[in-house]
Amino acid sequence: MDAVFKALSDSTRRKLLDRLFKRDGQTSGELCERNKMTRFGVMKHLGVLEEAGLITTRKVGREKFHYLNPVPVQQIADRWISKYAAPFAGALTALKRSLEDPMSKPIHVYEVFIRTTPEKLWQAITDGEMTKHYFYGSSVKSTWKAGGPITYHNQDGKLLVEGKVIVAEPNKRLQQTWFAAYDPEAAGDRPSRVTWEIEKLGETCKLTVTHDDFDSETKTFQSVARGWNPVLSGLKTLLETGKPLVIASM
Amino acid sequence: MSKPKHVYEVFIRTTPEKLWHAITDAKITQKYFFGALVESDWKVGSSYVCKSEAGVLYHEGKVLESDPPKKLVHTFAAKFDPKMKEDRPSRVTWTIEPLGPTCKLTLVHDDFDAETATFESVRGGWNAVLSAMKTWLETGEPLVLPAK
Repeated sequence: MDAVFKALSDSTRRKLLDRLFKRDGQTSGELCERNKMTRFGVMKHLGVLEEAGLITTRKVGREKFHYLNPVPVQQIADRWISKYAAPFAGALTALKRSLEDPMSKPIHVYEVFIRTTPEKLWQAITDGEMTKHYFYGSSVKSTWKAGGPITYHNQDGKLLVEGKVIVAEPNKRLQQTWFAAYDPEAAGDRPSRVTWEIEKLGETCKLTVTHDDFDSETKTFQSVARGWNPVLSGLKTLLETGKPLVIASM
Repeated sequence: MSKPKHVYEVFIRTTPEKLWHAITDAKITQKYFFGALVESDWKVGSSYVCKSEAGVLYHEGKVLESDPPKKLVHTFAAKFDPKMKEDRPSRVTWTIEPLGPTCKLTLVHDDFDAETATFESVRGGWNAVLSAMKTWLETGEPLVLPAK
């Protein structure tokens, strides 16, 4: 990329590119016309542009034709634009896969980007002292072994959620069943499933929470729909600022 | 059959005024919106653009409703990918609700004809943008996401 910037730093060379932009495929002779420089000077500049990959040439007999090559400039643009384009040109989530499946069942998918490490994020998800600051005041407890129980009790000791660990892969993935004990109306629903996935993206982590395995749009499905948003916002605030997020009752 | 729609809810420790600025002020969007600048007077009927510092157009539209610092509605025409240029402009609604020391920001992106290229593309994009906005408002620092 240094060669590209060096080639572009000279105004004569930029003018040569402008002329090729107006009309691609000019010969050396044409590019030398209306140029105050000697033919030798122009040829030297064209050589620098070609070496940087900004133009390509084609020889036909004794004539040499010059063409613009936009790729290096595109790469420069991508380098700073893709940061934006990447999120918006976006990763397709499990939701997409689910929608493509004609037999698709109800599913909630949430994504949040947090400035933290996978280790700290895992701890925040599995440490009851931390969950009580963002998970409706409840502390999580589990053996974190596949098949082991997992519970969320509020500070008065009331059971809010219970389930079993399906997969516990520290710093990467936690999958659990979910029975909504907090909602008497959801007592008839069989346990659903929650999957926490952590993906490291430089100094940031992407956390995807998928809540699925509902038989239909059950009471549980409806009650958790918006319930996850304050939890994930609170988790992010706790990790990034060290302080819990206080949300006045809605 | 309901039409395609994205709904996002984020809870941010900030005031409605600061949140409104974070959505409408280029000096702030530049900090968290992956370098993007928004430009508009945010009056009903006015147009707005969202572009890179180098002037590359990302998306643009018209302001449909503007009630600072509570509600902003605008059309959304994606320009960052040739695939989406065919899509008719969709609609973005920002709603700000104070809840004690925190604000609830609801973003609804709808009015798609179908599950268009734009619909698919913005799905994850808004999550990244809203996460970055929250980080900026709560910590004063940008959230860094690596390029692909």
